[in-house]
Amino acid sequence: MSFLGVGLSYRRAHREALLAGAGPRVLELLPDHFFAEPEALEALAERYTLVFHDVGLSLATAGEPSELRARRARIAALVARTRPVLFSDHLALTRSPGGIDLGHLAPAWLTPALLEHLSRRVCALQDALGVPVALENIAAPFVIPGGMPEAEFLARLVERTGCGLLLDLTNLLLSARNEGADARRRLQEYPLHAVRQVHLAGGFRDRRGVWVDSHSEPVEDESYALLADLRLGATGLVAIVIERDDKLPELAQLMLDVERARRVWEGTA
Amino acid sequence: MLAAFQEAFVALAADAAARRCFARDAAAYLAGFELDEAERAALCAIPREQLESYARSLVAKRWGELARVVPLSLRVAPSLRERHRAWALEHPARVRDDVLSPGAAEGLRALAPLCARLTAHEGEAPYAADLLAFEVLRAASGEDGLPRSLRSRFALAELAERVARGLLPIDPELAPTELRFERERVSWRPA
Repeated sequence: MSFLGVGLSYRRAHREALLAGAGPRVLELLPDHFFAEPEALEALAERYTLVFHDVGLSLATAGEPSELRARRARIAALVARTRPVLFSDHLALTRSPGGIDLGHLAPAWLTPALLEHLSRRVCALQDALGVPVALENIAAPFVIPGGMPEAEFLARLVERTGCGLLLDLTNLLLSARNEGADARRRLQEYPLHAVRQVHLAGGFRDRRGVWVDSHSEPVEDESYALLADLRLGATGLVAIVIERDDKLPELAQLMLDVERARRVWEGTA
Repeated sequence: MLAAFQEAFVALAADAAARRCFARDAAAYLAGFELDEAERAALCAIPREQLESYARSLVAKRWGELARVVPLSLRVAPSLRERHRAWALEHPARVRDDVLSPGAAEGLRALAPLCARLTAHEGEAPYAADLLAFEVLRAASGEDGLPRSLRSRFALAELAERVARGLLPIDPELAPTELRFERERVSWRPA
């Protein structure tokens, strides 16, 4: 699949403007926003190339509890209906095997046992959805000591399953800052040939001095610099998506970021 | 064992009682799970401050999601935020198998305990608990289409309208009402 373009994460506040055709080439949707109202997807699917992005499959959670199988089935139904070009979720857990719901992404302990488990989950997911699957690196609030480095873990997962990566450059940047690491050097440790999608967003530094991936600020210059660095290695990139949740600007304002990302990726910035 | 490790880890992140127990005696806490030496060492090596900070952020996120579906209740009972925080710290959320948004799901989880606390406190408006139930049930039925009902001592739909207009009735007349929520529709009749 060749590069399809730069897009935005869909937010309901922009729906009318998007349906009027003012949007980017690619739209990223959270499928659970459409579980109760799948028909609302149709009009968007007619106008835009879609990628699906979930935060709730908790792929790292041991076993596969019934609620997660049910969620996968709901997502598969939406995929069959609108044929997104890519599906992604995170290298993380959002619940325990016994049923405690964290409501947010938690770092997983990156061990060989988890690799074994995750390989099975990803293969099953690819079979169930019938579209390419990519896993995203999270902005980890901390790292559970004693596991593999994330880049090595993802490289092994790619090798075992053939899945892709959704490389969130802002997560990478903020995690590197919080750990005192060099983000540009760290970027080169990832299996860049497997990157299918990129996320860009903006965060802030909280009162304790910790960088938080809040999706509430414009994309930083340093994230764009990482995107420029990625050009050499990410030969299989399909889409770049800019995420914004809080302090949501008008669609036209976000389209300026889309345009900047496009120019950086094409090397014309 | 992967499952046991994750159970112990998630409990630490989601349950203040588990963190207190862990801080008091980590070995005793971890003895409740089937873990090997490396797993116990990994959990003990997680920086405590970062874990605590993460745990607080989870509770704040639960509140943030709930606050989106109960804006009127929050006007009537600003204490709701702190009441929810105190409850959520000690009560990890259980997974639900439904199509509800995180806010409506958290509302259903927290409804009974928050209503009990609002009702028990004399300083709260007498209709605060019922208004909370009104907003949560309306949001849930609006999302999943399932019918739900509520019995109140007050004409809640009217009260909700007045609060939405910026009025905060202090001592509204009693008007027992039965309400029914079905998709976007709310109907009511005298009880």
